[in-house]
Amino acid sequence: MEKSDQLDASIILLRERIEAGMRGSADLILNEFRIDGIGVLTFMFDGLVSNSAVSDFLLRPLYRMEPGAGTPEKLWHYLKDQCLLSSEQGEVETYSDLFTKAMSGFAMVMVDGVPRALSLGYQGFETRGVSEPAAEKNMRGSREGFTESNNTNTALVRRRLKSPYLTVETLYLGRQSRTNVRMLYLSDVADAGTVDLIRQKISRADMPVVLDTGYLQPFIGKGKASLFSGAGVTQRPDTLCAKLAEGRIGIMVDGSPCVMVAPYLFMEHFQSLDDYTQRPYFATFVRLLKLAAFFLTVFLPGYYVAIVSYHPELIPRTLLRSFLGSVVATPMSAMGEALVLFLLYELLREAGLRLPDAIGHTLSVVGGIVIGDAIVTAGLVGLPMIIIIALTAVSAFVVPSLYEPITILRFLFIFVGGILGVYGIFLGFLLLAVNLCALQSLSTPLTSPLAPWEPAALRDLFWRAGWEKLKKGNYRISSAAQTERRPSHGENP
Amino acid sequence: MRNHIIAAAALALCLLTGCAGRSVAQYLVVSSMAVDCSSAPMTVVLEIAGEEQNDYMTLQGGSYGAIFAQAQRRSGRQIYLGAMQCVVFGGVPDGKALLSQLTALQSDSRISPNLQIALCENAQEFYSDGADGEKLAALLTLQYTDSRRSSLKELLNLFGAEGRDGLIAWVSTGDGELILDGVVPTGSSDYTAVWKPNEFCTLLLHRQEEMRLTVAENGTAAGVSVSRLKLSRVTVEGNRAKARFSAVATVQSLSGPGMSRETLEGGLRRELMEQIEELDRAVMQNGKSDLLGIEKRAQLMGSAVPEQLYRNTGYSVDFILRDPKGLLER
Amino acid sequence: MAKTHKISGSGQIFCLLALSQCFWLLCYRPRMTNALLTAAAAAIVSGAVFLPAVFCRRRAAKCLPAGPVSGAAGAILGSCYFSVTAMQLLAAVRVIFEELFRPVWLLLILFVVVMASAAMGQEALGRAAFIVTALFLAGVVLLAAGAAGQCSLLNLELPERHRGMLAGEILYLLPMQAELLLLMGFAPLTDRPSSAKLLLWIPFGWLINAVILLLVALVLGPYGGLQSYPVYALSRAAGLSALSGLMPVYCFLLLTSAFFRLSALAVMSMRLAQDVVGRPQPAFWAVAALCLAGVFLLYFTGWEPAGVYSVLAAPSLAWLLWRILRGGKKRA
Repeated sequence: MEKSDQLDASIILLRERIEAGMRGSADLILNEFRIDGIGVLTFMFDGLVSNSAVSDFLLRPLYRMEPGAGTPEKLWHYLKDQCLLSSEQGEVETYSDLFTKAMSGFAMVMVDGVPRALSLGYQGFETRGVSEPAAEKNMRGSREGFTESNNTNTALVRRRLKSPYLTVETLYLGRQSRTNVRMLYLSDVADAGTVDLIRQKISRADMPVVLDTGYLQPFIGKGKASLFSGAGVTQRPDTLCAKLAEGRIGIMVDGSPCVMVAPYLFMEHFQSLDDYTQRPYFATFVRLLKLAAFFLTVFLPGYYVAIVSYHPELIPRTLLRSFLGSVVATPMSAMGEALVLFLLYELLREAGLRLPDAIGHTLSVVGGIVIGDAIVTAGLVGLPMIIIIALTAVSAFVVPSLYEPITILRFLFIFVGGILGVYGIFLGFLLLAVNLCALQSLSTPLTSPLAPWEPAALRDLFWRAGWEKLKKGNYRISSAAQTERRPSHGENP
Repeated sequence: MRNHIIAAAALALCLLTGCAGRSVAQYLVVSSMAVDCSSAPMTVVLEIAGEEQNDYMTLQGGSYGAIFAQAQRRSGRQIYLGAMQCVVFGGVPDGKALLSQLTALQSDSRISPNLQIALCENAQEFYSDGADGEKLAALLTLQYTDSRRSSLKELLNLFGAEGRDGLIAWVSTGDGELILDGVVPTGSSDYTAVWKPNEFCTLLLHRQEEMRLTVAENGTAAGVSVSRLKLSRVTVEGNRAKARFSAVATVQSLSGPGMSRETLEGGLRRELMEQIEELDRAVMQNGKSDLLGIEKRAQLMGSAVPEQLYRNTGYSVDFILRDPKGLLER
Repeated sequence: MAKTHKISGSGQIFCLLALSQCFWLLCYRPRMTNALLTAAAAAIVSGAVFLPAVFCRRRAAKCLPAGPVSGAAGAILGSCYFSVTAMQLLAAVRVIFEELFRPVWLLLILFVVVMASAAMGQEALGRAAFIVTALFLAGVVLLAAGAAGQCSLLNLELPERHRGMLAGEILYLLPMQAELLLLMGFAPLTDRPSSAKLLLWIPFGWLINAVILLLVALVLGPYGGLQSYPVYALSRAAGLSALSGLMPVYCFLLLTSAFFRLSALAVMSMRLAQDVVGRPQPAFWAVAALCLAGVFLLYFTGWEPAGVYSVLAAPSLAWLLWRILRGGKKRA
């Protein structure tokens, strides 16, 4: 602790320091009282504290205090232990902690002559209520989603995982934002090495502000050259609890409803909580459908461009005539058509995300029907290409968590197919496969449990076994980590 | 920085590579071909696939390579042969001539092994009366349950192998329709003599699904459907082969006082044996063709195969008679 | 991107070697007069490879990094096999794609892709081989399903008729087996070098090849012997429903097998080169330069791959024997 950061004992110096530090902010509330001749200073921010709680539990007891406090230390202990009520009470000794607490909705009480401040949890700032997450809907299961408040989110998890091993660690990240970041894990399941590694990685995230989990994701996920991240995101408490039970670590950032989960394996993108509420055969069907949709959306446009440009033999004979007709009419090459259409689609999608709902409906009509129809009628693009684009666009939303890499890969494969045909498509696929296998999420290979092979996990990988089998011992992510760390023959461990 | 340079270099290489992609419409897509081999140089009529209707291009040349090159020069487009479904030859005198044509086609790796082959009278006039490659392919497919039996690879195997023969369709056009006039056995010495196979032959060679026979005995006529006919066994004893056929027969109708199972079986066996003997007389006995592959089958079983074993073959037929409607007397 | 340097499991090496072993058939030029005879020759070759593989595995379990001389020799041999494999693939691709692409650029793209994947580490390669093997087998099954309807026993040519060619066939196939080199290179770095999987790839690879050869025999018959790349002809003859040819399946099988063979050779050469120079980066660039030089040498001289394989056979055998008998530095 630096000397200059330590709280002053004098109430005058405290007031000066606070006013200087806050530069006359309009929402600053500083009140001074005299109790038995001893000065008492309260410090809080308007809008962050609950006015009724402050009035009832702070100001009223202070005003009604009987004389006879004695020394400042005695007054301090009396206020702390007997007078001021709060379920969340603490002490701070530095200015940085003082400001952090006050900006977190605490009311701070300082006594003249005591170089400490009492923090009282009277938070009353507005938060969004618990509602269903827009991006992660399920057919069955809970309708609760995370909110922007870490306290609420932690409570949602604690309600579902009533385990004494559920550990919640708090960190303050961001030089200026001092954001409350929480790490959640089950200490009897999570690998201690992985927990330490995550703690180290996010502690080293030297950023001015941390406003969302996305800010921390690159520090936990993967390197710059990778399309796939080793950390996933969820807005559902039930999903997070399931992941925690497998030994993963959740990272909550105050102000964000998205909770990061690490390690996050590639195959998890194709799993959802609905899989466990539906019948196993249907859950298996849906998973395989998602896998097929992923391959379709990434490879189909490039493959189509390749066969139209270089390999007419691959076009079914019955369709050859219609291809001849559609292609001869368009001015652009197949690759050009595909790139233009996908760019147009991404423009419409981005525009649709930012617009208010009322205009969004209009946009979908204009974009989808008017532009799409006109572009075919004008002969700029062939009808088969429109069908391919529509199919792949829909398929991309079957696996929304992979939307970003899918979009980039799709463009890459269109390019590769248009330049190198099927030769390029297959080489690109193989290179992608090797790249995926080279990635690790913390110390866990991204392609686990497929490679390295974990037979025990197969019952919940491509298919979902029934609960009779699933309940016989959980797959633990820590076991995959141990596989990775096992020393090989001939090398030092 | 180095990774960025490598990525940029890789991208630049991609850009420089084979940017010669061309769309389907820029190919000269050949749908089928008619070849007149009656005189040198041969005359070829190419059917070019188009969006609304097909085009035709008549060319002459000493080889297929020269003809295809000519087509490219004339049209200014690269020829694409992978979609070619069938070739019909006219003026083929014998098997040796056809074999040389097929070998020339085979040597062009762009041509599919499943190219359908047919024969006709006048190849140059083949497309003039409304015939086209798609109709021909459909007809040849109809003639076989497995259309690849008259494909390029199958015929080359038949010509190149010993001990079995096949049939090549002979087609003609009339009133805008394609007609299958008959077949030419591949082992035949005269490729202009068209032969109409009997139903037994067409059923045996998978050219139809079933045949209907009427067996009349003692004033009762039974309609029987015969299917799944196959040559189930060939044995060789000395210089003589014995071939056994098997089939499934189903009683479809019965008109008259009644018929017992034994009577019907006897009558059906007689009918089938008559057809077998007719086939044998027409094709195998006179050394025209080893249509049933008797020699090949004997070879596969490891038997010694005398010369023209198929000319001296005894036949028998077994069948399972089904009576789902209960029409026969018990 | 985190690169790992060790191989997790012998199962991954099994898949890598099995995929590599399928390459010679997919790139088979017409010597194949009789597919069944070729299958028999392949069985004999597999048997011939099995015994040295046992010794390689046993030695690899004991020895550590190669010495400078054997390391350098192994790296050069690996680069030579890389070059000739790349040229074989190029020759096949030029036929399959009907000279659509400029060969030089095809080679360069292949080279860049293979080196990029080799740079990601041998463990990534092993894992990818493990995963892609399932797709490879699915491709073989698809090919079989598409061709099954055209199988006919009457297409078979009995091997006895071509018995005299058996020896020639064996001598043709034997030098192409580069997998012993790969085994020697990878086995020391598996977690279980004494695992049976490090030998089972031989019968497994032969089995896949035998299935394809049987299909060629039953579907194409003697016609297969007339074609350049009989398996390519098989894929064109096969068909499923509206698809009148399965050329993409063949393309996938060929490129997969070639990709893993080339990448494995590159990784093995880099590993051996690293034993010589001591650092991974110079080893990588040295091997890349060697491979590129070899590829262009073969491209411009036009030497036949069969001849190059024959020339490489003796030094490879000598190197393997040296490694088996003398090994590298012994474990402490």
